[in-house]
Amino acid sequence: MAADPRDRIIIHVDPELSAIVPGFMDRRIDDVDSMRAAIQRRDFALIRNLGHQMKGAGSSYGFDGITETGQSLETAAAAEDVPRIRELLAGLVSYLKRVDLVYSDPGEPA
Amino acid sequence: MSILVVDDSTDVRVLATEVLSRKGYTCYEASSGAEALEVLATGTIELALLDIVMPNMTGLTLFERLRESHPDVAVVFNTGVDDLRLAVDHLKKGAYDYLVKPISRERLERAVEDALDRRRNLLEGRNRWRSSSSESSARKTRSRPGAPSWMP
Repeated sequence: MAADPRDRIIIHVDPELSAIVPGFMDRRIDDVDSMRAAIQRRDFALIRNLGHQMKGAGSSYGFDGITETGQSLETAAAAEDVPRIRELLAGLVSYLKRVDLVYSDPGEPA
Repeated sequence: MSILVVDDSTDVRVLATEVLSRKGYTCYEASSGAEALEVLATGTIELALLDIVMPNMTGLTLFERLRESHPDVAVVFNTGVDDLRLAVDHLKKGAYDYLVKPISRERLERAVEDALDRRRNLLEGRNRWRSSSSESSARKTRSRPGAPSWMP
């Protein structure tokens, strides 16, 4: 069944970053795998560090949602709150699946 | 102009390198303080963009090492540590700017350009002062051969 287009998240990306955004998205998928494995080991330092890095980079690439999720992951990892970490990771996966990239300045007409 | 991007985040290194290379800078990357010191030892770096929170050696320790071994390298912090006191302390110690992540492309470009301008002015001023002071001491020696150096 096709995804409901109303579920799509349009992200306006700076055209000058077009070459590096796909790599950024791929690394988030790797992060999800790493953090899920880290939960099993109770390696909260790793989750906190990855969350911190997501927070620091997300908005710079145009993904405010990833900065927000990174910040929440950092907080949840500091509290060793596994249910919250799982919830945030599920949200991140859903976000990544629904993102549609538009390479233009948000102020420009589509 | 050569810039060293020091950050344990691949995303930040990739972004800074992409943005600054487009502006004509030559960029090098280091994912740790130890790697950064290796690149700095080549003597080709004019500006270092430093993260603070990194394993093994923090950006603050790296900054102290840089001040001793490479005082002419301009340092701009680019960090997730949003701490005004830390920023002011390190600006007083000689850092050129303190950026709090996430930053925009435009902000990064402007900070690097400003820091390199200030560094260039500082070095030119120092060179002018050195050459004028050596000319002045040469004039004194010529005008009063054998006179003590403190004599006009």
